[in-house]
Amino acid sequence: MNIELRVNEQDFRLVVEPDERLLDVLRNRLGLIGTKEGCGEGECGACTILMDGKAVNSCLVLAAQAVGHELMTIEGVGDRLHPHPLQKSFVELGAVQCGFCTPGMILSAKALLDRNSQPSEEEIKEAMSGNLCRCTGYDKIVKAVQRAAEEVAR
Amino acid sequence: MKKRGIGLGCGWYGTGYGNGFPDVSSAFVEIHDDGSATVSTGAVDVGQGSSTVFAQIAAEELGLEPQDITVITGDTDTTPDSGTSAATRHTYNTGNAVLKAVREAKERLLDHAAHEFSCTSAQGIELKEGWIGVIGDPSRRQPLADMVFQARLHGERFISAESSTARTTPVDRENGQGAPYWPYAFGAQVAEVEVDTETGLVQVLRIIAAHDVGRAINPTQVEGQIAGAVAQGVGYALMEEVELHEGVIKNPAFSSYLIPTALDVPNIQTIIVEEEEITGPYGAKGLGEPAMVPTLAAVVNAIYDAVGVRITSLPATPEKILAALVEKERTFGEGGMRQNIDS
Amino acid sequence: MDYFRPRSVEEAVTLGQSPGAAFLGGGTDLVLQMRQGKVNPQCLIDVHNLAELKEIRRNGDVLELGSMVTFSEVSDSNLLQDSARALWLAGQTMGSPAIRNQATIGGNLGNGSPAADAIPALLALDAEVCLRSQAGEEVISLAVFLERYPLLAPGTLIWKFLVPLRGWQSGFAKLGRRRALAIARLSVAVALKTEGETVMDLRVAFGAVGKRAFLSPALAARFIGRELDVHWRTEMISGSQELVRETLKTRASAPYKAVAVGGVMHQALMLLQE
Repeated sequence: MNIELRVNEQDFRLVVEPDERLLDVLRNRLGLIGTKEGCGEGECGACTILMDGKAVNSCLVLAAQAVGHELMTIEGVGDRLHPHPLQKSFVELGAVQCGFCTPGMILSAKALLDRNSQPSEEEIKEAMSGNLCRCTGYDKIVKAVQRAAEEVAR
Repeated sequence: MKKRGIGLGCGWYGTGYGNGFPDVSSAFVEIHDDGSATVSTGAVDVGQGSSTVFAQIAAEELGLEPQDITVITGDTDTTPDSGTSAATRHTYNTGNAVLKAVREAKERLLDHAAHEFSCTSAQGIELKEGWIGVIGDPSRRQPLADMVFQARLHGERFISAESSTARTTPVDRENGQGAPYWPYAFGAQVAEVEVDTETGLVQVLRIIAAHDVGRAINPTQVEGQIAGAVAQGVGYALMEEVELHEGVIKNPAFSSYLIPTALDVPNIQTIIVEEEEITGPYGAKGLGEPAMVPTLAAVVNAIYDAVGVRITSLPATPEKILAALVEKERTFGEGGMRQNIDS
Repeated sequence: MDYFRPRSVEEAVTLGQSPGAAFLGGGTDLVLQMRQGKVNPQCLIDVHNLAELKEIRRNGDVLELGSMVTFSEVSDSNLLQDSARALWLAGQTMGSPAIRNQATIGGNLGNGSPAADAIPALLALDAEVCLRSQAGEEVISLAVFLERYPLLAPGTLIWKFLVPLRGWQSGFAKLGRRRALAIARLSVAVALKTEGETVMDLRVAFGAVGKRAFLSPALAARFIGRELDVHWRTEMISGSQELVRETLKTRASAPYKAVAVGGVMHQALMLLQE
């Protein structure tokens, strides 16, 4: 079927299967491989993207369902030259170890900060609770979100 | 009712493959004519930060910044085998190989520089902040890049290949003697938990983790390794269990094999203990696995402190805790003497 | 496979007559089940974005909740916080933030899991379900609806829920294996009507105890007409323990759940609004 997707403020016309997951379309058809597949069952959050500003698991959304929604992947958050405050703080505070959960973590954190620019520690943990990390123990991730929140507030 | 308790766990851990198994790491190093250097090693950084550690070791030795070092890893076409990223071995084993290789390349460079500066010995040459020169004589120095560039025009290159082997022996099965591991890592952790006596649920509120790392080459990474290990240790203590049925894993998914989320991990305070390991690079030794060991003992001991029941198999699930509480009440009545349970 | 995105409930119901049709909500269960090969629909009718199904509104003394209202919308709603607290609480603890942003309360019912978070809350709140099919509309009490096997006839769309607003207090608690992303191992919802210190009416529902969530009128009946004295909580706790023990009988989970339900009941009672 023919669909149109809006990803990172760009429009794409695509031919997809009706049961094709958004995750696969982003990665395989659009080459946006910053979005990761961890578990494929909505349990790990590695595939988190933003749909109309809200975090969703792109492994549980069909590409067809995403039509008409504004999508953002990690590629739309920032880049090497213009990193988002979250990307900067994750790197500076050592919140990235193997990096597999990082894109999803950043997007869940962005969804939080866009809605609540001064979250408490508990609110940060709650917002990140669908994103599993096996390396960091979440400690530096939470601190990086706090640091970014301070920078965004400034 | 929610009850709080505190528990202590201590651990020691032999790092490296051990038991006489060949434990060899290797590295190639080249100092380039732009004042940078390359370290090539098979050791793969899977997030623990080994590549950063190698860059720091090379930079320290060459008077450069870590970002001046390119670390190439895990390419069988170009890098020498350094064994697996396992057994808490890269900082110590591969770090030693990198240090040896860097020192070897540096020695050639210093010899060359001594000649260029008309010194009788390389002892008087230093590498500092991207410069190479005669110690104590600021007028006789030049950028490292210039020295290497000129040398290169004359066919001189500063390349090295080195290996480091951790020597261990198998344990004698007769008398238990031997040197199965080197070095050993040590740690102690305190856990504070809250146990819900109605549901058996445990929440770990806080962990204080003190670990002897020999020397913290990268303190931020050390903290990250400790926090990561504590999170795994909390999972190990409370929820993680591979369920086997006739050799088949019954829970091979994140929906059935549960690991801690951000909300399940306690506040973690790390204490880095630096007790130099003289055989390690700059006195460093490994930390990855050892930091997980004390956590579960600390948690299970804290459960005992909170509610007076000893959980003797892992994970300490709500089922086990509640069953133990029911049993305790049946035997001793409400608030029965915990000493009796323990003996 | 075909995929349709109807523009009205009417159109959705007509499309629902196609052979092998399945209504697609947030997709958090269906997309996964399709991938795992557990279901194999020939035709997907995507209703997740239908405005008619996304309304949360007060209509006189009834609260109307469209089936495609997401758990995030439930937990963000001040109206629900004030007037359907059990459901509002269930909305906070279900899955993870990303799941809550997609998953819908209609999907939660349609998926038919014994551990569905919204169902005990809706049962306690005495919700009715409005169904739509080619045959027309059907409004049925959720408690009665849950006795149907199979739950939904082919081509039947869960349209909305009607929650009576009677000024009851309500609470909900669940027990999971961890603090987020946890499937309910037990859940309890309580709705209470008092006059002064007297219990005028009480509804108690349980989830993850047996195949489907259920109400226990027998347990509730023990308290109706009684005073909210110091004993009532203790008796609710022990009553729920007896009930779960009897319901689960010799099941492997029985020894644990029959005790732990007391703690979940305790928490649900503590969360009853002031």
